[in-house]
Amino acid sequence: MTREQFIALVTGEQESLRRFLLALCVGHRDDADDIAQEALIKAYMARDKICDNEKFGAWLYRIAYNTFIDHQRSLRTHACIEEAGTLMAENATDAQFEYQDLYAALSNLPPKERTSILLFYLKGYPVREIADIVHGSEAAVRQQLSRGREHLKNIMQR
Amino acid sequence: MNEDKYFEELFSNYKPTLNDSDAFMQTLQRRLDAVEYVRLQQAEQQKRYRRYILIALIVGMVLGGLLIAFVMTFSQPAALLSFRIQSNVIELIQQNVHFIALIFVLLLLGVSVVVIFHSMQEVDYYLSMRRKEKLAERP
Repeated sequence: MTREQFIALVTGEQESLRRFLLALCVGHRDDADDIAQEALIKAYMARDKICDNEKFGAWLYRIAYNTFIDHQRSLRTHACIEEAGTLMAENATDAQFEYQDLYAALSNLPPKERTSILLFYLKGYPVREIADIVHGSEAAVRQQLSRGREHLKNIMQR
Repeated sequence: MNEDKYFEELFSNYKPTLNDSDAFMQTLQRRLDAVEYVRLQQAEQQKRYRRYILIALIVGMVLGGLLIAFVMTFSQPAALLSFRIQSNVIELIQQNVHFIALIFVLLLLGVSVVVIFHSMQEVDYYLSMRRKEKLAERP
């Protein structure tokens, strides 16, 4: 894949990817964009490994998810996610404030549940593909979806 | 089913405004340029390294060959060492002393050639970086 082809594919996918990462980072824009940039650079460096351009999206989300997990392991990001619910209320602009409840609810889900829920409802990926992205079994993803739904509903209805 | 609908609606309405997409893509392009630059530098470095190894190999072989040829011109082993002790090991050393010396000299020569070319490579890299810095400083 040439650089031009890569850029063309990324241009079509970047907004959706950034929205997914923004939800995964529970509204922390800077972190979401940093992870997106890092994931896209990783994808660029490994672009020769992808043979089927149709699977580019799922492949990109797998890299983004791995980058998010790596990022989350660092203390800085971890602290940000822990504090996301409180931080947003303090310095939110109107646009950020809009999804504050959703972000606060998502911040209470473990990363795997959060990822499965977002990939399923936000991106519309089937369970099989989610399992591939998060390196888990289909049964585990179904369980994460079920638990995630339950958790999210309880939090949202409070 | 109702639960699924609730979540589908919840996420179908999720369309947050993002930071400027053009700026995001420009930053990405700049980072990709940097990645390409580093890759190019690494490839150049490897190429240079291979060239130096080849030169070191040729120089080492030529010098080693000359030294071997010089040693071979000795018709008889020179009595460089003389011990008055009867021992098979000492006798063996005494008989092959010029070959043993040759091996030591060849080892020394090999290490010297590697060190010299390594230093040359370092100097070359330093000079190329200085050239690039000067170019970058130009208005």
